[in-house]
Amino acid sequence: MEQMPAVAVRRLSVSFFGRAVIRDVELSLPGGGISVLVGRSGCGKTTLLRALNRLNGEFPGCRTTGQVELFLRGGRHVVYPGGDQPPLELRELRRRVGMVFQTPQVFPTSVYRNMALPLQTVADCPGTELDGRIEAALRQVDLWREVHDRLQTPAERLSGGQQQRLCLARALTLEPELLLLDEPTASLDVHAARHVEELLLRLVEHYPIVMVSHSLSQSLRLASTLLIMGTGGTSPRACTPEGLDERTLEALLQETKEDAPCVTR
Amino acid sequence: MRDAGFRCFQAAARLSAVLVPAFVFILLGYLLWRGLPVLGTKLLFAGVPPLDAVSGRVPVWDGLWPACAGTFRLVLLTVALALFPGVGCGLYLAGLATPRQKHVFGAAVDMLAGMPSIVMGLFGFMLILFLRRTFFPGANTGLLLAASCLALLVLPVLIVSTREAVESVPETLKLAAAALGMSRVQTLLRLCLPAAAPGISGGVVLAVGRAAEDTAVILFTGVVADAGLAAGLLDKFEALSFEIFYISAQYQDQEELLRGFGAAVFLLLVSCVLLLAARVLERAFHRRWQGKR
Repeated sequence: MEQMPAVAVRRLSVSFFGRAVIRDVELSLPGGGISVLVGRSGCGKTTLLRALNRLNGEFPGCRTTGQVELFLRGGRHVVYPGGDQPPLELRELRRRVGMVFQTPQVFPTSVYRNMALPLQTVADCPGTELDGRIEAALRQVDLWREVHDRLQTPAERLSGGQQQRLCLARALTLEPELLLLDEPTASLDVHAARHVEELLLRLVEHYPIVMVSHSLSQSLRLASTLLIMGTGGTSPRACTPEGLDERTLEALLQETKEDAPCVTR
Repeated sequence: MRDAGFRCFQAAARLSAVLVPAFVFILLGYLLWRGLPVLGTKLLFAGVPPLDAVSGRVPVWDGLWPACAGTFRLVLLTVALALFPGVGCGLYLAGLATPRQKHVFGAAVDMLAGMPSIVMGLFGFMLILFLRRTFFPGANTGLLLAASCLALLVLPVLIVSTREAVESVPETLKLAAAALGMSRVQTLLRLCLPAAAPGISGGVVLAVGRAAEDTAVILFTGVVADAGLAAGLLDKFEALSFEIFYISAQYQDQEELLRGFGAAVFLLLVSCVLLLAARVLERAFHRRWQGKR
């Protein structure tokens, strides 16, 4: 059965100071499962990911053309102006599309405040609900048991894996409908990375996930859809991981060059 | 040969490093050696019962109490006046200004920082003359004017320390806040400002020191040698820094000179108390915001 898409990208180009990073990308991502973007470094994976929540606009000299459509609760929404409807308001967009970065970006404050700050500022969460929502999100990432008695200690004292799960929980507490992950395990040791991977496989039952990965083995473990990006920032080539192993994936990466014909759906 | 060169360099660097604590030690040692023996309630209150003197019921004419209280009030008023615009301007420059604005405002702040304090005092004095001739014939120099001019003097210190502290918050953290949906103003006020608190408190400490020691500004704007306790914001006042200058300029015997050293020790104490207060406040805030260590 064909799944409803979660994201549709139409003729999307992003440039910084006139230098194109991705060009005319056409893409459709399924509404469930983990879509993993793979490709050589510098091919525009992160830029494509950041285009989905308009985060490229935070950088100077960024120019974006084309459109990104998100299929969230309440139907279809457009991300960029110039579509057939007004684009999603920035705060609303980023609340509904959660993001986690490569290195854990915990705020230099307590564990509790790390979680409470976005809830208070972005979700307008009333003070009486704070504790409950923070606990629920921390339980979702298996962190509650480890930190419930040190919520008031600095978050920077947690281990790398715990910090990354805290960042994941911080995004989850805003009740997103789509998760963007930019190499979420790249800075973690094998054990912590595996823990996060298991977590993602559990979370994907509730949220569609789009992630960038450098590790081919990880991509094969997690992906329900693989998106192989060429070096020219053109549309990624989509395929399923079934029947692929690291060697064949590496070969696919090699042959997806700038001028390769793009298979899009 | 290279080894000998390195050793020379190492020795010179070590000597320079040792010089600083040595001078501090000599300076403090001399001051305490001369000042401590005369220190006491007699120097402070000159025979007036301390409680009566502190509450202002009995005026103190010969003691240093009015100067101590004057300096204390002057510094507090100065910091109160300068804190909000200083931190606000620093935040704006670090987080919201366009590159062009940063350039223009930054140059203005640098210029203000380079202004000699005597010029600032003269400016305050001219302001009062102008006000007397135009809107307020009754305007006169006093505590508020002196604190305003001092606030102008310490403003750049606060602006620069705030700006640097806020700018040193990593870009990746600001990006993470943006990705959560926080607006630029929310990120600045709820994330960068608290994270920059230690830097800002460092600026406050510098400002307190500068305001406590400056004599040139208050010379023109309201300090007098025998004002007693200032009754209000518009009254003339005494200050320790001016007291030290005054005593050392016209002492007639050894005992009077020692009073000057006593005043210097008191000035040091008042500064220490204010700095300690700033540090305690910062610690308390830090613990609240960052979590218990």
